[in-house]
Amino acid sequence: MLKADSLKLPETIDGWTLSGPPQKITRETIFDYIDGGGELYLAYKFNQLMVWKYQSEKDSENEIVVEVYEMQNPQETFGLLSLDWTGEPVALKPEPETPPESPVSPTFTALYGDGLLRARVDNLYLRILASRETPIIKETILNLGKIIATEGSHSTLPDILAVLKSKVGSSWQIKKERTSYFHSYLILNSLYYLSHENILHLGPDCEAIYTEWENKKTGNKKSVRMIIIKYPSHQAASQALDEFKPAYVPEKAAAEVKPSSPEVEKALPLEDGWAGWKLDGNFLTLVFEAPDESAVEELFSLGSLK
Amino acid sequence: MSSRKRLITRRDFIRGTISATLGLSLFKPDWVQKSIAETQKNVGNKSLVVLVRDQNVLDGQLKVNRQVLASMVERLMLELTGKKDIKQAWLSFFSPKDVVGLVPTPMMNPTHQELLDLIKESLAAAGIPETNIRNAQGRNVDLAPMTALISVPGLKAHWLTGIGTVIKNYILFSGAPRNYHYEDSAKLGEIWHLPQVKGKTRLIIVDALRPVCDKGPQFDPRYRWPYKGLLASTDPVALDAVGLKIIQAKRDEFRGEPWPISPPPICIEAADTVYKLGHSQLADIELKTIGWKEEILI
Repeated sequence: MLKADSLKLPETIDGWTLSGPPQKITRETIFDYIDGGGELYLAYKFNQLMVWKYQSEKDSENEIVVEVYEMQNPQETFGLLSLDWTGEPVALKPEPETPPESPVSPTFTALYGDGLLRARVDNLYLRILASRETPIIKETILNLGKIIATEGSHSTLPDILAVLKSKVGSSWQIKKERTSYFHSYLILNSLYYLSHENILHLGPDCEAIYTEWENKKTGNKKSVRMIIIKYPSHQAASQALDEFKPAYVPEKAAAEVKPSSPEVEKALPLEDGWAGWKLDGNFLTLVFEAPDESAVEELFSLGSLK
Repeated sequence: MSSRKRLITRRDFIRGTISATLGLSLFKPDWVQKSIAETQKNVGNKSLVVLVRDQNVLDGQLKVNRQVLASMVERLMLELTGKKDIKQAWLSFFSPKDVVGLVPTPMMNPTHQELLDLIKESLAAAGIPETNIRNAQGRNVDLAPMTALISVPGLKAHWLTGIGTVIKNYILFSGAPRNYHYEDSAKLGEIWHLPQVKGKTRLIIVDALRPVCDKGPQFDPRYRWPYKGLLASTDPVALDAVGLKIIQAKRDEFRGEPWPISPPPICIEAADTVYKLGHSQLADIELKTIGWKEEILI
């Protein structure tokens, strides 16, 4: 794994000069650095952050801030980038290093927009931001990204993405740009709100995907939402489902006559469409806002182990 | 099941039962209940919110034109108070004996310094001694000597509370901001009832020159746009409700489809129905819009 505090950035680049030594931010000081935002990085297994600041030699008011977040593994940096797949995809390394296309998710490693570069380099997540953007400053930002990207090896995707399928012949098409990877319910809530509390028992020992589907045949643009969670064990997944049902569908939980043999697969109508859950080993798949029961069932087949 | 804590879920928002659920789920300490009882008497039937926009307030480099901004502040104050000159407008809220604290937004979308400077100058010109106009933002600020507050937040969404503008602007006064995130963001209104805060906010001016429609937690320039507006009211909840409407409309326009703020900002509803700080329903808000109408979003 790469170490953010081992990186060496140039003293000067394209008429910009480092304003001092890098600032080191730890798990203990992340809230001082991003008040109200440290949770985001802690939710992606944050180790440390290094911050460099460059001042323009021509424009003293302009600054480029280089933030390099060191996470525990490359999946985490994929997760951070996957929270927003919009922006201009840019290559920080030669083409052969770009990972092959995935049918269920973008595989970009770097995205640029309006003076902000977001990128993943193995277990490092980069945010390079200029206070004012010009085409020349954009080049400098990309050059800084390329210097850091030379440290990386080939990019990988989280294994859990393999659970999602894009079936030939299915009327359901995944919205790849909505596929996100995460562990925490805070992240889920920022993607798709279910409850202010952790009713799915999400946490660092879980891996989860959120994505959306649309129906190509009906042309209905309304997205169906899917959450897939891999728990550390079947027991943990089962307990999470047991917690979810009374919290989210209390009327259904109250009506269950045989709590000792709970339904592991179910579709039911709610206020915003059909919802469903499917427990399969240590995987729990949830579907929301589907048009009907058969859609829930078909989507389960597109988001499961089998 | 009856012993379980009543949870707020997505379904409460769809069913329109969020107020009832908040009422059942939020614990209100005695000091809050007492303060609410006093505050409730001051909430009127309808709240006035004034929105002033001028397309020339920012130049091509997005630098603030102070002259245009000064004229926007003046229009805002005159429309809000119904007074004929700016001095009388300020003096309808403050007296020269007041110690006035300005509470700007420090992070993510900080309040423009030009706006803060103008407010200070205009207050001073109205007769408030300059030494009595102070910064009141921060954990370590002593609010005790301040007899009045002007909240001057930047309009922005927030990733843990949905919206991070007016109600949330006092979070540092709590001394424990992390206690007011996640599900506890519903309790943000409680801070307005703290003894050192209660009843001091006479005016709120929202800096909507360049709002941020995405939630952060860190700034992404792609989601900041030149709305070129200022909003003002004496009702913090009404201002958040109007600000939310603008941000939500911009998000939908951005994606070309509904892009709801997530998590939903329960602090606005709770500030109205639980903490009785003002009106959250647009039907209870009188919105006056002045100036530039293009892409007004509301």
